[in-house]
Order: sequence, then C-alpha cells, then structure tokens
Amino acid sequence: MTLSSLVNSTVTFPLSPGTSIEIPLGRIISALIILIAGVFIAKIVKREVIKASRSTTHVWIINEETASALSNLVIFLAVIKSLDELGVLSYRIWGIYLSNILTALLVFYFSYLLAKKSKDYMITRAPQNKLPEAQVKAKLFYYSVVTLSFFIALNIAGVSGELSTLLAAAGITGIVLGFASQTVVANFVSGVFMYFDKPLQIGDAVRLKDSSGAVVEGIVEDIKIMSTRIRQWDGTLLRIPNDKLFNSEIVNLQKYPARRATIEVGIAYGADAEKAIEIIERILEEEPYVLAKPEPRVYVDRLDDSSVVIRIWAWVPSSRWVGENLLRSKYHLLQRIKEALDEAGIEIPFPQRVNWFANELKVRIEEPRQDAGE
Amino acid sequence: MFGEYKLRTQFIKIGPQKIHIVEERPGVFKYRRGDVKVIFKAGGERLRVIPGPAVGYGVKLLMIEFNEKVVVPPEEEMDFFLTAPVEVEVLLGSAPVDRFNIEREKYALYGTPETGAIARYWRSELHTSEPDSLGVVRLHLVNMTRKWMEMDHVIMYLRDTVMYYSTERAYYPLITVDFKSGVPEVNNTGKPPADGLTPTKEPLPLPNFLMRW
Repeated sequence: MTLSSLVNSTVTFPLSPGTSIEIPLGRIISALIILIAGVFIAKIVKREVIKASRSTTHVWIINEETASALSNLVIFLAVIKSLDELGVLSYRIWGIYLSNILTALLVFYFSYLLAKKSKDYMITRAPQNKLPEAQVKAKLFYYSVVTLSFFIALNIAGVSGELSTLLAAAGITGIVLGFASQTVVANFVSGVFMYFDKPLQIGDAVRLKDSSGAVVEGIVEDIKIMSTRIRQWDGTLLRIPNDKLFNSEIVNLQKYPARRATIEVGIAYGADAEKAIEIIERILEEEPYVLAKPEPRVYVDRLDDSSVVIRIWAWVPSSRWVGENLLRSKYHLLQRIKEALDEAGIEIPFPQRVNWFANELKVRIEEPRQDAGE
Repeated sequence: MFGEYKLRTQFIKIGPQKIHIVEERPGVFKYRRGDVKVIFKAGGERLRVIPGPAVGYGVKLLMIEFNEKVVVPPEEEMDFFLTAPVEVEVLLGSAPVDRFNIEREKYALYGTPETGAIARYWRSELHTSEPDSLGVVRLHLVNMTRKWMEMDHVIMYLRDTVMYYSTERAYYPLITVDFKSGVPEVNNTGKPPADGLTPTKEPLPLPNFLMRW
C-alpha cells in the first residue's frame, strides 16, 4: 500500500447502531497536526505573557491569569479548526449544529473573562476614597455582562427560540420556579436598591437591628449582589441576605466625623453634685478623644430611687468610638471618672431601700443556750 | 534635643520623655523609651531625632484657638507667634524607629457634625515675640481689604508638612493668613519661619486652606 493510498483511505466511526461516519485518514492526521500545533503555540503564548508580566507595570492585565486565558483561547481555536478539518462541525447534536455550540461557548467564556478583567481593573484603578462605590459598580457591570453574554450565547447556539417555547410550554414549572426563586430575586433587587440608596458602604462601622430586635455590629466587609458581609467585632463574619438588610434598621456609626456619646453616672444623695460635675468636667478636659469643640456638657439629669443621675454629653471622633477603639476611649474614660470620684470621696451607690415600719419594731435578743454546743 | 546623634550608650531627653540607647554588643544597639523597645544595627548611620507635625491618630488639620481675639485694620499686616503641639520622630536612615507625643493630645471638630473634620486642637496666646515653647508657629496676617477683620482661631494643613528645627525647638513653616475675600485663606508656605533652621525634608508649600468656619 502506497503512502498516498494510505492517506486517502477512510476510517469509519460507529455513532449508533446503524449509523457511522467515515473520515479520510489524511484529514485525521491534519486535524491532529493542527491540535498539536495549537497546544505548542498556546504554551509559547503563555510563557511569553508570564515573562512579560515580570517586567511590566500593567500587572492588572499582563499576568498569569491572562496568560492562561490566552493559552486556552489558542487551544480552543485549534480544537475548532481540527473539528472543522474532520468535517464534523456540520453535525447536529440535539438538532443544534456543533459549530454553533462551540461558537456560543467561545463567546460566553471570553465575555466572562473580559467582564472579570474589567471588574478587577475598575476596582484596582479606583482612588482609595471611592473604592467602596467602585466595587459595587464593578460588580454590577460584571453581572450585567455575564447575563447578557449568556443570552447572546444561547442566541448564537440557536436555542433561544426553543428555550422560549420550552418556557412557554412549561408555564406551570415557571410559576413554581418563580415562587422558589422569590427570595433570590428579592435579594438581588434589594442589592440594587441599596446601591442607589447607599445606607452603608464597604469599610463603614454599622449597627443593624432586625424586626426581631436582634442587634449586630461590625464593619462592612463586602456588598455583593445577593448578600452583604459584616465582620463583627469578635472577628466572625456575618452574611446577611440583602433583602433582610434592606428591611433592617441600619445605624451608620461612622457616617459623620463626630458623634455625641452619652454616659450616665449615679452619685449618692449625700454627695456634692456640683463637685462631682466639676471633677467629671476636668476628666473630660484631660481625655484626648473627648472633643474640645463642641464642648462636652455635664448636668444632673434626674433623681432616681437610689442615686442622683449625672448625664454626660461628649462629642467624640466617630472612628475612635467603635470596636476595639472603645478600650482607649469610652472604657478608659469610664474608669477615670470612677477613679476620680472615688478619690474625691464621692460615692457611686448601689440600689438601696429604706423601710419604715408602721408600728414600733421590737427586737428580742436571746442569749445562746448553754447546751447549744453540746 | 533635636538633631543627629552618634550611636553610643546614652540618654537623650526630649521634653518630659527620656530615650535610652544601650550598645548591646559592638555595632548593635537597643533603643528604649518606656515600653517601646527596638534593636538595630547601626550600619554607619546616626540616629535622627526630629520634630513631626502633630497628626495624632491621623488627622489632617491643626486648630489653634487664640486666648484672645485679634483685630487687623484695613490694608495692614500683623505678625504673631503661637505655641503649637509637635510630635517627635526617631529615624535611623530612612527607617522609623519611634514616634511619640510630647504635648497634650486633644482634638476638636472643625465645621459641622455633618460636613466637618476632626482636627488636632491647641490653645495659645498670641505672642509678639518667639515664645519659650517646644513647638512654635509664626503667623503672618495680611488684610488687604477695606474692612476691619477679626480672628480668634486658625486652621492649617498638617499632613505631609515640612517641619523646621533648632536643637531646642520645633517650628511649623511660616503660616500666612490672607483676608482678601473676606474668608481667611490660610497658606502653609513651606518656608522657614526664621533663619538658621534645619528642615526635616524637602520644603514644599501645601494647598491653601479656606477657613469657612
């Protein structure tokens, strides 16, 4: 058998009982060569991009991830070309041309990569003060592009018509799915609304109170399209669905540079209230994190059952009056007030009650019996 | 007090603070100030003890409130000195060894609670000659308007400002306040307030600051 006759011979592949495809051996060899060349070129491309990434300042685009993506693209194109060489692209799978399926996959995969890269670029290039906003914008862009490219890919594959028919036909299933995905949709829509409402941003210290009255506090770590992550003061991560967050009471503890802290101190009725106020004012004056302006206010607020309550209004830097910083601000201040009042002999009382008896109280003291210990 | 120190076992006194340097073994030193301890190798460098702006926990502004109000006549200029808080930076080569406060730390809200900013706070008399204080600001008031202008406090940019020093004193750059539009415009000129002072870094002016409040 000569080489030309060997090359022109055909190989038969059985597909299913009764059907088979015949492909000339020459085409199989060509397809294999294209595939091997594709893999080879992909490796070179990957190596060169990685090499370039070590010396470039544009690391956000020229990096190992891009190298892998480009390498995958070359291999993918080589696979398509090989299949074309074999002449199988015109075959149909479930009534859809194989070429359409592969093109759809290519479009979706690279749209996804493009969206991801763009998202990373938007985040890394954002100025520090606009980072939280840039992160949310980048994610919205990313999800929009991925969703759009998904439907474009379906259209290219030629299944959008069939998909519509299928969805219309499965109306009941759609309703069921609709109910099932209600929470997902609610979370998504709440996430979008929160983006425009901006009750909190990444990096903000917040206090959240839900309808049951449960309170959580922490720093906003991330706002995703479906949920928001809060790093609580104890270091645990709390994931809150956006729908639930949107319906919570949100107190932003750091929205403004300063906030007013309220502290109450009870002193005994016998203590000199004016002297106590003077002492507290002196301590407030000495404390760094009690702002000199607006000036703090100290006054007798009310006369309680067991104590005269002195209220302190002190303006403090918002960033110093949250989380761990409370140790050096609030709790330090409380300790100093307690020590100063103790030093001045001003009693901080505990609850006490004076009982008056309608009739004179008679007390009989009995001597212990002689035999009690025996 | 401020300046460069040849590394050897010694005490350096900075205001109320005391720095203790001990040569542990040839060329290797231990720096100690209270609870702060650093071990380093000299590498032929000297220890620089220089003044730094009083940024505290990281504020950008300094508010100095005057003990008395000052009134500037139309088309007149006035010069004053103020006392001011400073911090101390200890550097070895370009590496920071320590940074600390030697003045009272206090802050204030400049502006409104919604749109203001937290500033380092200080009270000072208006001195007509250089006061005997660790930190000094020289203030030059310029009123080129036809109105009488009054002022009871000054706000200036702190962050990234150059500082000047002599062995005994730290100086902020010359601060000018111009009343040209009715709103005082504060300029941290970056220039030395007197001759013969050493800058802590390349002297550069900072952006002008409009005192709206």
